[in-house]
Amino acid sequence: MSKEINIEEILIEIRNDIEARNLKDDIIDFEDIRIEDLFSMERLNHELGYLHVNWYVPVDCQQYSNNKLVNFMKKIIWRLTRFMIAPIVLWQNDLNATMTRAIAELKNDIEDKNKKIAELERKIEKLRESNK
Amino acid sequence: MCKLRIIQMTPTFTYGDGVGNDVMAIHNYLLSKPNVDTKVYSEVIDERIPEDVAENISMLPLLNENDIIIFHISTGSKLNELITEIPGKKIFKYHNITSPKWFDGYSMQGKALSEKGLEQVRRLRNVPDLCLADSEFNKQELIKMGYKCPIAVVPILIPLEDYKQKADEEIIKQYRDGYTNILFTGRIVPNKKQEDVIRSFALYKKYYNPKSRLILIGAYSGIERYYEQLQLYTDTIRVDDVIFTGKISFTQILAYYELADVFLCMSEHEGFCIPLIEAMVFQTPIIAYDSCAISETMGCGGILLKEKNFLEIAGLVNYVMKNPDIRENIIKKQREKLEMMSYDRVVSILWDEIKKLLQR
Repeated sequence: MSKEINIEEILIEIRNDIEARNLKDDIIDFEDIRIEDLFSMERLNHELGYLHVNWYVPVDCQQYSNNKLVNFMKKIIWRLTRFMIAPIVLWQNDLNATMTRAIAELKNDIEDKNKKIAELERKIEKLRESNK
Repeated sequence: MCKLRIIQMTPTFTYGDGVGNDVMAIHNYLLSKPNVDTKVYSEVIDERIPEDVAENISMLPLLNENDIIIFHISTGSKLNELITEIPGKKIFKYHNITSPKWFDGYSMQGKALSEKGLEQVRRLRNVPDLCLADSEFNKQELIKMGYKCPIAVVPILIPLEDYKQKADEEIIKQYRDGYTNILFTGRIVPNKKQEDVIRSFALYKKYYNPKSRLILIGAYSGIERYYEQLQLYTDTIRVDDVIFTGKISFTQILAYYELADVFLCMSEHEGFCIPLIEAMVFQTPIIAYDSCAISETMGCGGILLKEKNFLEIAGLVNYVMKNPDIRENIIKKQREKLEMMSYDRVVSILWDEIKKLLQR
């Protein structure tokens, strides 16, 4: 068996060295980095893919339990509350569908604009070169 | 004599990730048993998985009460619901589900899957006949969720022989340049706290060793937002020589392990943490933050930190690099731990549990 490593002893030695050399942790916190400022097409595509698959919430009573009594009770509660819940879920599904479509249209528009910008940049570059 | 049928089910069978490796290792072990008939069924199968190993879940044969199903749980999935309808003796292999809080602000999909997974695991508490947890930490989590069946701790099966393959020479040539290589392996996800590894490295590079490099191995698909924030962080704090490898091949991973001088893990949620074992295989001293199952997987090996003081962590990396005796001692202890994780030992625990289930 190898001998024990006394981590506390090592850390005391390191702390003394940090103090003696006056070392400082002057690095900003990760949480202070604002990713919101960055736009990423890859990320938008990924999130949009998720929306496309999951925008629809089914309006039904899900019975996962092995217990028949639990499933029966769920069914009863569902029948009693369906008139209230179903319209809300349907309304939400409608909203989800509209939002997903709107975001998809925005994405297409961004892609078109990006293509146009790239084309214009290429033309500017050509003009610059011909003027040299 | 009729063969015992043991099938494995997993929502996604990915080549090279922790769960995928476990499924594959168990499959290979069961194949070596002459009286066992085995196959893997999954919703999504990586194209690199050999065809005769796995089939789509739609091909699942009719099972009966004598069959054994090893069901791997690591995320939310439709399979988690299907399992209740399948006859047979059910063994849940619980790999842990990352808490949804870690995906907040980074991935709607990750958060939804994690929430769904935890809800499903809670609901399935009366379904299994036996649970196998990767760690004591995972076992306690199952108990908290109300699981009453026998729960055994069976670590992830890692065929350590695989690590003897030849590593990618290009990478070794590129990075064996006198720099100190600090390594962390794991998917780029918020719970792994790659930002804390970067911060500790930045201080190490600034105060102790400018000729050092940080290598972060891990895929980031599905969590690009966190990856971009990490990159922005690296740029903002102006630390050079931080390499994000993305998803790479096994031989490339081996090369980075071969190059590594220290393995630095700041993860705050792990159900097991295979990379710690991998670092042990490559005799790389480990410095890790003590959270979830980390201390259990490390055992007596490596240095375990109770708190995150990044200056001290940087100092500790320097200490390990500068003191060959300590380094040697850490590696020796890691070797002792590794013996406990040997393939033969883990498969014998697994087989004993299966036999006990059959006798019940």
